[in-house]
Amino acid sequence: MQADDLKLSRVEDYCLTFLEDLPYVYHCHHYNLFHDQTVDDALGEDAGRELRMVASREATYPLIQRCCATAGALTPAERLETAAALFRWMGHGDLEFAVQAQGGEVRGEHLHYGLSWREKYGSGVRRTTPADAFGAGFAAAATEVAFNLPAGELAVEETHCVALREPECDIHLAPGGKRDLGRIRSERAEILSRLGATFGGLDEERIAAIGAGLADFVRGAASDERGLIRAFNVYVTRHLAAYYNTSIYRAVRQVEARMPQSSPAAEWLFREAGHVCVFNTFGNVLLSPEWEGLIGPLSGLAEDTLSYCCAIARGLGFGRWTLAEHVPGKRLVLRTPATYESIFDLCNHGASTRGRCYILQGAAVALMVLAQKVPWTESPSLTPEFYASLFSAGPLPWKVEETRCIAKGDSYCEAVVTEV
Amino acid sequence: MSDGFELKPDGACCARLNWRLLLPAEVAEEQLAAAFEGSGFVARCQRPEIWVFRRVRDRAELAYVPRTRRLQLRIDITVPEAERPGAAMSLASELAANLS
Repeated sequence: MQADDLKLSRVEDYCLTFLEDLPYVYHCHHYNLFHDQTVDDALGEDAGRELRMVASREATYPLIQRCCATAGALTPAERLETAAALFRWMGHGDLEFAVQAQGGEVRGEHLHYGLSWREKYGSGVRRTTPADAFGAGFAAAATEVAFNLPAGELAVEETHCVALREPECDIHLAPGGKRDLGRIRSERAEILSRLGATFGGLDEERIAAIGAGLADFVRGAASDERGLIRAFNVYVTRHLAAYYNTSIYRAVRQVEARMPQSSPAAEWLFREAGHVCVFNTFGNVLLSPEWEGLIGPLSGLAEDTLSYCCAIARGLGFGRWTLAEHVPGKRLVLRTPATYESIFDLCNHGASTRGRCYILQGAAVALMVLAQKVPWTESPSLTPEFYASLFSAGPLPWKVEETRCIAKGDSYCEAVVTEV
Repeated sequence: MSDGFELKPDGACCARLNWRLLLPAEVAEEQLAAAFEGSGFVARCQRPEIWVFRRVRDRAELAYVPRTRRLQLRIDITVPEAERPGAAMSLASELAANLS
């Protein structure tokens, strides 16, 4: 499957990207693993995995339906083939279906979560539960679409996983699903109709040019025959924003309802995911040959680093991040007319009483750290130890507040970073 | 490895996955694509700003930046971490031989 086989669009005013009119973004395995872990940490392992699986099914069912329609796939075999090709195009690995309407088996190879979990943690941690909730949810949705079943008809379980030191990943589907899946509101038309006017910020011309160039480049980045996408020094996925948002926002609301005293800790973790994303994904992009070729060698100047990071966020479909204010080392105001987070929360949960852009919040602090503390011209190694020295060695010298958020009814989102 | 070539660790999202092969000054850019292809690599992207070549056999990749002569060797993620330095050295030696 190539990009031309899919209905892809990008709205440059907001730097949001859509696949079959559903928002999608690029995230690397460091962020993806951390995201899933935060959901499990917030809810507990079993409830977390269940929520992630449900989020995958709810997000991917309409996507697979639409891709099959675009491809003209009518028979179950054609639809399963289309779904498998889509899964590879998204960089999630390869699924081999042996299923009927009553379920069956799906064999997963090089599944993004299992493979990357084993790579990142496998030598030091023994995992006891499978890692591929997204892949399993996708497999269930694909089978339901293929056989014209309602979403949630089948029960699904990942029975073997490479993250458990097993040779392959296997997903078992059977009758008896709960059929109580929700309907996510994540449509391009609704999202765009609810956003306010767009705007620029400091260094706008350069950021806009780089961001648009990156978006064009990553759009053309093909997955290999195994369904892996390697570019800009990272293994990256094209992922549905609805998966991340459904799992995070339902998790945070469950915590708020059942364990309100734990909300700050949960939100801190969701925010830390922004640190992980910026350090690993943005950092590796900056140090990559692709960046050096397309943009040029790094200067190490704080203002350049900030502009580059805003451009990367735009290229990855996170929203039109702009620099509203910057006082080196003291204050940073990141402002955007859209994020893939807040507009989703508004559409699905109504107006919130607080800022809900956890990635933007965490990323804003991380941008300050990258701008002030990383010696880019020395080509640093972005190791877990380096991450820990920057973000975990002690209290960060900066704090962040989301002063405006579309989820609260504001016309834009704004994260303000100041000295502690 | 042939004289003048040097292999160093390079930035990567996973340990020991990417390596930088420093090219001697006498290696001309016009030699590179043929040398890559001679080792079984096929161009995935060859723009004026960045080249990316890939080899199906071991899923290794080469990324080259014409403006800075940076050449990155990318070992596949399925190669165990302990074997990555050896795989990178083997690939570097092969390319150096093709370019000498």
